[in-house]
Amino acid sequence: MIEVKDLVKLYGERKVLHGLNFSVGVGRVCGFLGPNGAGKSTTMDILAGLLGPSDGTAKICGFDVVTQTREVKEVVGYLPDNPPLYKEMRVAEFVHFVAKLRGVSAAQRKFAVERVLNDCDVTDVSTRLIGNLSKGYRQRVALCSALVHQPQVLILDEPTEGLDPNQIVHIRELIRKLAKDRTVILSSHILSEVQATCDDVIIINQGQIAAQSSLADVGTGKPSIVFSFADKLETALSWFKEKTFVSKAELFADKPNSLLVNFKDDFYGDARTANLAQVNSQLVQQGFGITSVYEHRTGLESLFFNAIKSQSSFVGGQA
Amino acid sequence: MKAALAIANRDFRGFLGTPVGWIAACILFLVSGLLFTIVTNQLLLRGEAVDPVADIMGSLIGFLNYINIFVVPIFTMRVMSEELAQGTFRLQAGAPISSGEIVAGKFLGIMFYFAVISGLLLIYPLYVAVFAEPDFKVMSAGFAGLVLNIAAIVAIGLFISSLTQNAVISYLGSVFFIILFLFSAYVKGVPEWYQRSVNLLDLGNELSRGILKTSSIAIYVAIVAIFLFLSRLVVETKRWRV
Repeated sequence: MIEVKDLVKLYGERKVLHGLNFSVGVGRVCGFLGPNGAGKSTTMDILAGLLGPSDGTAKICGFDVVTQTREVKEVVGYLPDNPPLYKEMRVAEFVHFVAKLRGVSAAQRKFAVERVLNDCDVTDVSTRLIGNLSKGYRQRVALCSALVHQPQVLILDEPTEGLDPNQIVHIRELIRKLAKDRTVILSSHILSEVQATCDDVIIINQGQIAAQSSLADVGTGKPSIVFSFADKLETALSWFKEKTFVSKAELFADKPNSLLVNFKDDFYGDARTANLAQVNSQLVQQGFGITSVYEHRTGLESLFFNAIKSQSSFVGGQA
Repeated sequence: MKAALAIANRDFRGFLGTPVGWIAACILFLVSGLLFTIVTNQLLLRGEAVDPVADIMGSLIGFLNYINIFVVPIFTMRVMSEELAQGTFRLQAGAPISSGEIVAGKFLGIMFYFAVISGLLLIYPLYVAVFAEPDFKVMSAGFAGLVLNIAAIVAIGLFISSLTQNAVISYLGSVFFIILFLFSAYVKGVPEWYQRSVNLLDLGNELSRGILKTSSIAIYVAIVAIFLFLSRLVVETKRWRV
């Protein structure tokens, strides 16, 4: 459980976090999206108790990151963007060492290490030197070190970086599995990854939250329909605007000779396909040359770009 | 304390798992071996009566105390500056352990290593014992002095290396600081207690002649405690900034 209130971070004069507010509940995977330098890693460092906030509070499982740092570190498993690994150590030896540091009792240590090596799929390299491993393996060893003490809250900074597609799927499944009774927050700049793994998404840009949403709400709204025509675009536009079942019709900016049409709520329902077919046949009867018709969903991508665009224009307007 | 021992154990193995530990050991054994041979030969050639403890072991340990000013910071720069630079410090910084435990672990790790090295250096007194009858009490005091000097240099080196991420600056800075520290004894007008306290080489020589005083031990303990405490302060602030 993570609660963040008015979190501010200053690096000297430079303000990198402008008062963040969010919370993530147990059993949720929260995706942290944002362009490079947005403040993702800074926020994660603060949550892991590795960086002091300049103002505001952050609580992990009810423990304050500033005043109860030790308790916070006990419940948090953190995978930073540049994972700390001792290159001269062997994989199992390293994870053992982290388990000791993390206070995993001697009786449970062997089992805990074996389980986490198995979970992250690195058992086959457990006796190899970390320095000799490929990037994907190193990333997974780092993940092992973040998971070995069974943390209640997982903070993962770009967990699938450097992994091949197969491993990405595996790690996603692992994160989903772990998230059942834990709180996970992960950062990424790969939209599809967040879409595949997370329950909630927080888009952060220039140290501010640009958008915050549950992924279930993203992209399930009523789809707009894009109609493309061979000619007579203006006439088609006025034809749509006259219809009572159309809520909005406009020129579609992303595709030439096309209209973006939103229909009223009762258009979408069980009879949606039939309705759409009827509109099409009417258009043909009117002599419009239709070249294509498809549904246009506003997904995470557009949420992301709109959030960042609107915010940068806002910031630009201020300046 | 468990965490401190885990860190110490890891660092100790780290020294043996990388060339650094072996090269440093080679330097110490090469220098001490050469010196031992030269001193013994010279004394024997001169044909005078030789005091195995004062003449041979005394000069050997005295010289090692000098050499350690340059050898020990190789280890302290690794355990702090390099870890800060490579980000592995985050591993300790992010663990639910106190900064004191981190510093203690780092200190003990290097001390374990030098305990082994010093143990191996015992070959010289054993060799001497085959041909003469040295005073083992005096020789033990000399070895204690060697270890105490190393402990003081480790504590100072840890403090200097916790200040920087650059291993080269850390090494040169530590050597420079230790030399300044020793030379500050010769500044005109410093109180006598200070003069005695910072002159680690003289203290080491005193010990190698078998003069074991409580005050000498107290000085070493104080130096180690002060610099470990300072390191702890630096580590505590660094934990909020990495």
